[in-house]
Amino acid sequence: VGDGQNPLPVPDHPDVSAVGLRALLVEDDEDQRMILELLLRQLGCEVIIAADGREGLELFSQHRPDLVVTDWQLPYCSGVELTQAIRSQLGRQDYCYIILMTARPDISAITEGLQGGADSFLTKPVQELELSLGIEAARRILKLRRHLRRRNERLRRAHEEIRSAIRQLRSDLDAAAMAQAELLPARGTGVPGLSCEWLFDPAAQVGGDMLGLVPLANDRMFFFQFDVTGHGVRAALLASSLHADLHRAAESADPEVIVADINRRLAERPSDESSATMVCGVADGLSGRVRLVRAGHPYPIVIRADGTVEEVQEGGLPLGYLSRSWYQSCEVQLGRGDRLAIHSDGLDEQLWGEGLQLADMLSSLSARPLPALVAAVDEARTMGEADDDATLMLIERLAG
Amino acid sequence: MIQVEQEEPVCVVVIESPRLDAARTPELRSALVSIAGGRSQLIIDLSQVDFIDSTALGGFISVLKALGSDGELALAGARPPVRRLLELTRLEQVMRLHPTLDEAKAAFDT
Repeated sequence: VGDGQNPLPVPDHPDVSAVGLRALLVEDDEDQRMILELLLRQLGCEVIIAADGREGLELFSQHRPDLVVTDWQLPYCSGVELTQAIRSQLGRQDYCYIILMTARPDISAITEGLQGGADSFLTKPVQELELSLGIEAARRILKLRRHLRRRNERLRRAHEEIRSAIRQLRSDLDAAAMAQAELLPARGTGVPGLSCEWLFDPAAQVGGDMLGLVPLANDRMFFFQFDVTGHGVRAALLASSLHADLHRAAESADPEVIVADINRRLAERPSDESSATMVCGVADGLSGRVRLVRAGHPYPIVIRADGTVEEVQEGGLPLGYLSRSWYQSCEVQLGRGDRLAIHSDGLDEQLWGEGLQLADMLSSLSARPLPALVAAVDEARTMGEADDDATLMLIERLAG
Repeated sequence: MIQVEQEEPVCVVVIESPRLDAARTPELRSALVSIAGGRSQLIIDLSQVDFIDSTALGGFISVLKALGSDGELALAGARPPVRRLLELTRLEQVMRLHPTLDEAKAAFDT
């Protein structure tokens, strides 16, 4: 055990430059040891002393110094072996600056020392200036390492926070998607004389498309479909609120008034450029008469029982553009077995991607029952990353 | 993205971007609205545009509003896919649609 060994507390230095370096000096020659210890103290180091390689490793494990200054030739193990042992003990996370002292600093010795994990070399006999430059270099590097470690720790924490925020967002979106799905009409919603089927596929988890079917008295049914500009949460929130408005207004069974009201409300929203396209109307299960209003939405398609198709082109501006817009309804007469299809432009794009036209598909597949027809359209769409919501709603006047 | 082709007698703005979508609309809207400010008539030449979406239509409505209550906006030279959307959304109810820029200019002269 070296003469000047200090019982130091467990190392926990927050900042190297502020408190100085904790140095382990390993040197078997007593005179050299005393000189080096003195010099190290003068350079602001706290010094722990070891007289051979074995004691050096022992004291290193015990005190975890910032810096090791070791002679090359030592009893029990060499300075290079001590360096290797320290490096393997520290692993990749921790660091210690190691200076090897040698009387013969030739190229092969330097190579061996560097490969063993030494940071720099001092030639013996050690000069004060050389040692002080070596300690300065150690100080700079240790400071940098600590800075890096603190920064990595902050990054790790930030990363964890972001991950947890994303988890939260995902679960919120899942909940929103479920809430939105609950707004959709129940499968099989209809009234005597009318049967309905639909397809709804938001591009993100939630979307700006929505549809509704509300059975009314006297075998009539109120129906609507709309597409709020954009998609994602912002569009979905507005879609939910429009859905509620339309359900409340359904009883009035007056599409012209309903659409004009919604248009005014959207147009008068302050600091908001939201708009929507929509088709809404009332279908009569007894007579097959349909009265509808189209506001910028893709043309509704009438598919006659014999497979011929017609587009309903009457209509007005999208909702939310101009508060003074007016909307006039038009009438469609459905014969027995005729169908009315209402869809959003997102579906058109997905079918165009496959070289298909919705009207042609509905015509050529008109013999199929509604659920099979909707399934066929669903299957024909471009699969993959859709960038718009896709919606299709079909209303059929039953044959019998 | 846009070029003012002429100032008098009626201002003509040429859109030089082939796609007008949600990503470009804010910039386009503010550029067009600032040109429209203080004027009452404007022609927008769409002959170089291949695609527009509903947010860009909303941008044209903002321009129409900026032209004031007596303002007149004309869209000229719309290509088939663009014209299809203009028809679908019935924009001709509030602005003039002309097949070519010359026809749009002539309509303002008379």
